[in-house]
Amino acid sequence: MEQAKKEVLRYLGYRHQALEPALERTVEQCMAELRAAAGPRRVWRLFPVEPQEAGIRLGGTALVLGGGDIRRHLGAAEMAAVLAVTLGAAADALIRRWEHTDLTRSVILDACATQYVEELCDGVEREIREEAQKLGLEANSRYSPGYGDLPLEAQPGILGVLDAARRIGLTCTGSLILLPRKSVTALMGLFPKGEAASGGRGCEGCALRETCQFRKDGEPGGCESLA
Amino acid sequence: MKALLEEQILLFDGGMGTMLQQRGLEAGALPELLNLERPEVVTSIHAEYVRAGADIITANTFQAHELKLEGHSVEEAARAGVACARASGARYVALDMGPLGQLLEPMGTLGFARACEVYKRLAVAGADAGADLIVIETIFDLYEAKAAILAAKENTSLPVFCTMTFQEDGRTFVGCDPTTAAITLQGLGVDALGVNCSLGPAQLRPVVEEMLRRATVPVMVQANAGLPRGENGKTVYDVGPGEFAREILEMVDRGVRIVGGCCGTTPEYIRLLREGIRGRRPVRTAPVPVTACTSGSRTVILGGGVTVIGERLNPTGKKKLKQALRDGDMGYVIDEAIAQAEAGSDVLDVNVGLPEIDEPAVLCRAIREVQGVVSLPLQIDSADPAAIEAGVRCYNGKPVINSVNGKREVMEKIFPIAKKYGALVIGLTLDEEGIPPTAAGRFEIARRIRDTAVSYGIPEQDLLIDCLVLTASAQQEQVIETLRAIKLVKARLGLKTTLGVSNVSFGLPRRELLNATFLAAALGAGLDAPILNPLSAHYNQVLDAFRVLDGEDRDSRAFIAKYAEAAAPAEGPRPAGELSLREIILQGRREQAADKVRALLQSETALGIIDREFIPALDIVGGRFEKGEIFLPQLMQSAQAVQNGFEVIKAHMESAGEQRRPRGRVLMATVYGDIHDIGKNIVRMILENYGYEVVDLGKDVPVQTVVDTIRRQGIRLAGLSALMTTTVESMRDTIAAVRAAGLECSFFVGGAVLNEEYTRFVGADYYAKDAMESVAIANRFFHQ
Repeated sequence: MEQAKKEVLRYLGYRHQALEPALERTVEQCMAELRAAAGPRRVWRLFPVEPQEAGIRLGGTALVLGGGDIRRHLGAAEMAAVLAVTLGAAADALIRRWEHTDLTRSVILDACATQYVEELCDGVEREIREEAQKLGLEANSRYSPGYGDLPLEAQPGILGVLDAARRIGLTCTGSLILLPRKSVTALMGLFPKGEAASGGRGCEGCALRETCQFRKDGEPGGCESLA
Repeated sequence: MKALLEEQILLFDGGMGTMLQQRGLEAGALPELLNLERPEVVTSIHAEYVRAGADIITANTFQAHELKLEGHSVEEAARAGVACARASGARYVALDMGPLGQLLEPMGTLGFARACEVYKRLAVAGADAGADLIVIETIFDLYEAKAAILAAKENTSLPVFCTMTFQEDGRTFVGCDPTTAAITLQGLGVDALGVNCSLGPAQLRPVVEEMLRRATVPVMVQANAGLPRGENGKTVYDVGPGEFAREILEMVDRGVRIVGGCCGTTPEYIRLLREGIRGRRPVRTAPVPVTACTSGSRTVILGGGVTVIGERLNPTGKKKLKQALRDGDMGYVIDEAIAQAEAGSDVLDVNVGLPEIDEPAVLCRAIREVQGVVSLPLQIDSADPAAIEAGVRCYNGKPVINSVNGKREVMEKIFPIAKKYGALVIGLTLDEEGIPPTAAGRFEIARRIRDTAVSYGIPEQDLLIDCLVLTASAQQEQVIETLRAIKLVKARLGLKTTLGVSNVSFGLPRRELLNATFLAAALGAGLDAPILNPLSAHYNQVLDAFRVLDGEDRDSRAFIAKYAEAAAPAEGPRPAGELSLREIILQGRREQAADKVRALLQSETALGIIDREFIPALDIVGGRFEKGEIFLPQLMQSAQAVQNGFEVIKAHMESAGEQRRPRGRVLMATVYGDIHDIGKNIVRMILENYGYEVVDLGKDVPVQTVVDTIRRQGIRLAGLSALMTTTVESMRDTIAAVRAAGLECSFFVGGAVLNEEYTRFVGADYYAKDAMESVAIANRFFHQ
């Protein structure tokens, strides 16, 4: 929980300022409240990777993912794991409800939700690594639409191959925003042992580097510099 | 079909997706296109189910709607789908309507009216193609079910079945429980309701049993073949046909009348069901009639305790609410709704009746906003039948209508609405002759209202009678008649009662004492649902006490928890505190700000406090934030302290008749398609702190709304936010449209993906990297 709290504070822009006990307590309460309200669900599936001219096709599906970045991420993989995680509509409702009466609380809850969904993704990632292990493969890191040149336009297709609306109630608006809001979709590559890219997460490979708030705020190492 | 349901168990088919995948359909591809591209494959699957013994074949039209289809029209896909089903030799063909794949407002961005249109097109296409019924299935949002049901019933004459999908916790993805689903769906007039998909039959049993207890129409179950798991890249299910049939037939023995299969089921599952059904006849269930209203996720059943209806969302006598409604500012409405919910209301009355507003439109907006933050059922209150219908239509759940009375003309207008949407209705015991002076006279009107409602097909338990209170100061002898009338209505008609309590004390001192005493007396007479101000301590004390006395508060637990420690003053006066206002703000002690400002107003002018206290303190806080000495929540706590102080200043200036001159007016909006508005809300608060007036258009704001508002209100500076690369486009469109309209307005923009480069791309004048920067921009813009 301490690690989780650190992460929440990091999302709130905390840089080792003096933190009064009352605020720290509020953060802890918000974490508990958010976790009690959320209805976390996840779904993931493995697909054979079929590199084609137009992009990376997930075998047995009509989904072809375009762009150089996803080719680098999955091109040499045998299989791709596609995953989706959501905290459900209740988490959104909780954040929205406080927006009106206590904006600070709402912002803190929002950060708690961001942290929680990441934590759940880490859990799914572990499951996938275990599965990869069983298949004699190893996995690289998670990669999501909106990173690099993998466009958000891939989102509906990803939800489609997972049947995510039916399985976990995850949908996507006409503007490609995932709803419920606190949700993530991602792709991991499964490679023969020793061939998975290091999975290092430095700024170099990060698609958010141009707009990263940490870098904007003068942290050259981005989010990693605060971990 | 309805007659058939009385006599026999109806058997639907099983999974289509499973069968298509066996034939090589790719995951994620739209199966509906196969109706056109490979009709013989679709028909062959249907035919297998016909051979297995299915009565009803579900056409392959689950997502054949205009939000999903590309390259083919809805009509083509639906026609081909129904034709494929018909060609299989099916006894009956059901048009299938699944979820739209987007969340509806307020959770999402798809409008209710738009959802109705999308479903309408599919429903009409299916009916034209010759479908025998419509099945709406795999729905997890009751609101979406309502859109589909209305579309089907308004535009076709086909029977409508509706099933929803539930999780292990007994709720849908958005929190709807089986009771709420059953009560709401049958109110909307479906011919059958139930559950499909979700889970295996064993896990669904509690959901089905709960529905059987509530449903007055046949219950339908199409379970999955257990839970899915991945096996060699394929999805497999863990319940075989034999076990599946056993479980489902047990449900049939408990009263389920329509069965079939969903994901993972195949013709073999249906064949075994057919064998089991042979020789079985529908089992009668005995649902207990209840008087209940619902929201999208909650049911309130009247009786068995006091149901409190919060009355505060009503502009009568409320200057601030009137102003907020005129300005289209829903913040005030939302705050009142949350406050009443937290004070223990069970239902909230919503009335926005003002002569100069478009009542139907404002009522719908208020309902949507309130339903976005509060899960209580609402009572839709208007004198205008058009507003009632608009409100009841756009409402998510089974609402209460406030009200009809014994006047024929009123009943003729309102009862058809109540019937169509399945609403509860309050009947006031008055008619063309006025309010009868005796209990017997009011009882007679109640009876007439009941009889008329029943003649419209409204179940009598969907009525609530209000025996009306007159003021003790003017018509003292009448007060007791109200109490007598309540007893009569309860005893002889068996209907539930409601009553607006506070009128009784009008014109007398110590109103709260009279009101509380009258409330106790009315509860004693059998009143079920008082309409009152739930924030009143006097009412709450009576309610808390009554709940002990009538046995609702078991072992007086709630009462003891609330009052045993009351010796220590929970909300006693806070220590005066030695902190200056500036320190209070700097430390973000927002609960102390209002008192301090009140004290300062004794010796300082309102403007003086803004200029000499708020702004310098905010500048310090802002500077610390810029330097990284404090982080966002700390900045916000200080801003909220100022905000609380500002409320006091505003009230003070209003009562002194002073006009507040804002430092400037700024429009703010989260652009069309985007719903991430926390950043915008932070900027709004800080700008207001600095004395700016903010016209906040909210989120997902259409381009034209921004253009119109800027023109109408002469706005010169506007802030737009967008979080996504996709919605940055919408930011550019908005700014371009304003410029094209020839309006002189400058723009600042912000949001996670924004930077200087994007700012140029969207054509904005300034980039605000955070809230403090927005203030700096506004200060430069208006004051240099």
